[in-house]
Amino acid sequence: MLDRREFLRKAGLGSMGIITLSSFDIPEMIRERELFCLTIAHTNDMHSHVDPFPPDHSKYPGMGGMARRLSLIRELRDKNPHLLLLDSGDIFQGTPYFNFYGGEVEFRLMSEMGYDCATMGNHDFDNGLEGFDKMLPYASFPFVTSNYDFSDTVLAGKTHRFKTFQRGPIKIGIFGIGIQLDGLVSKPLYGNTIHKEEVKTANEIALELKELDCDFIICLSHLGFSYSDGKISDQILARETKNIDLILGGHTHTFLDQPVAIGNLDDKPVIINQVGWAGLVVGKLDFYFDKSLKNKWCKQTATLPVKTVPKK
Amino acid sequence: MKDAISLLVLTIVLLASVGCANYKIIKFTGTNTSVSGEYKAHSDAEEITTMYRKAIDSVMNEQIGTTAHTLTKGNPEGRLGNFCSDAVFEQSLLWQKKNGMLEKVKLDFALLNNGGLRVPLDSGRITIGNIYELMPFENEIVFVEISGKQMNELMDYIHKRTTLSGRKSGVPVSKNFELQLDTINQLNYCQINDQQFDANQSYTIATSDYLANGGDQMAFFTNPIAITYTGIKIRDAFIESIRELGRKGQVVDAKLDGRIGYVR
Repeated sequence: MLDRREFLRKAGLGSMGIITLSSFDIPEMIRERELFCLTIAHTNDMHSHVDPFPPDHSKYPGMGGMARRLSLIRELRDKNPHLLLLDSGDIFQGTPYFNFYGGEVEFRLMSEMGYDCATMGNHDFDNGLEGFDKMLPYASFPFVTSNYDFSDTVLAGKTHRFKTFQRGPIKIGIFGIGIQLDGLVSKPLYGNTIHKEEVKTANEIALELKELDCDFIICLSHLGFSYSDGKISDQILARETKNIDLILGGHTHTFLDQPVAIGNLDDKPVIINQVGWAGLVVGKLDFYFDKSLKNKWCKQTATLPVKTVPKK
Repeated sequence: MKDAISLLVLTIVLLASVGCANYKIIKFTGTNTSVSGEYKAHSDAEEITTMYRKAIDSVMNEQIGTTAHTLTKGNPEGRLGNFCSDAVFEQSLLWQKKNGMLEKVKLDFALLNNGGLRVPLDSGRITIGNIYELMPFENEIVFVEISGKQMNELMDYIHKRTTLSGRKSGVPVSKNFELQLDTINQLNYCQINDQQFDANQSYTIATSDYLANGGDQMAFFTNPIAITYTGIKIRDAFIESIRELGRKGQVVDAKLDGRIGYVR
């Protein structure tokens, strides 16, 4: 298997840590072989933005809206029925829809869109664990909260350490890593929730998923993209773990122009993406799998660069 | 954001290097797509939303008052923070009166955080909807009694949040709390209800439960002498204060009065 350094060399790592992939040949090879495309669509920090921003909004005039997102998702699903639709938390809080109905509208619309899985952000605790619990009947999708131990709370047994999904021939494992609640959320709201260390938990669960024969492992994270003070973030999580293929982040409301790739403990690339907030942007990631390529790698065509973040 | 708004397609080849058990990823493309008017609002979603939206709109569009100025956050003080913390203090006193608590707890002043005030109040008519945008959180007013030592930490916090590079958010306080900052000698001169601050005394502050629990790094609140939960939502305190002015035929006219300033 190609290691990351070799990957970067082959890909032609330019200065500034930007990979420019150019002029690989044989796109026909893709066509000849039978490929499986897994499409992952995702959101984060929708913050109860059910309706689009008003037309006179200073930053995002007329943008967003869950009814439009439904059209977009239906379009994606028409193109590729093997779609996974995921959310990285902070579904709640930000518009009167939440103040009045406590998340009922958001969950009902997400269910209509066919979300497959989500994790909890700090604002999903805003009406307390009871407030979240009361809304669960409106959500047709599961929550993965791998590093929150809810066993001594009303949410005991109602969220999952991880979930696995089958899409075509591919088995996907999904788990969730949440942010430290202490100092961020009022203690009475999260009650007896125990927050477990992020990197250790992520490594444990990713390994468990690998041993369950998952082909692709996704971490839904509400840690934030990166911090200047070295606080745990998606970038650190990617670097300090193994077996994770993709981190879909949230919390910092980061509008990434494009996904980034970071080398993990095994020097294998981990893709990280985050799409701002308020349902303004939907991320869509297509992964093409090929069984015949076992133990091989193959030159393929690339059209645009991917930004990588240099290892510290 | 501009870049993120535009449709961006990215194609890279991972050269079979993403670790998966049986299948190799040979190609990856990522597209972050803006949810714009290009996508029509789907009727299946509209059907769900309409009933909720109508009920909300009927409440939100009610005008409760008028403001003479656009109220914005500021540092060391802002019209928005001054209005909001004064409103919390006044409504706290009213609540005490109603509940026969005036004697039991002697409130000294109110303190909020600018991070919790989400949008400015534009000059002109104020609707309930505007106040929900300003204060979307369900936080309630609590009274926190802290020691003179903790009060010193509170003042240091305000000092930092007013002057420290990169952290300058300003801290909204009610008008009965006056603080003059000596930035050269790192000293604070404080008067509370026209009395010199006394480090041997305890003080009781009306604030939000979020801050009382140490939110926005207000560690000085986390080990209080006493705490009283009022159940008054901060948002309702704002709404009540504005309504009250309206009933008196007055407009919201928050002023900058130098409650937090610098020693000359």
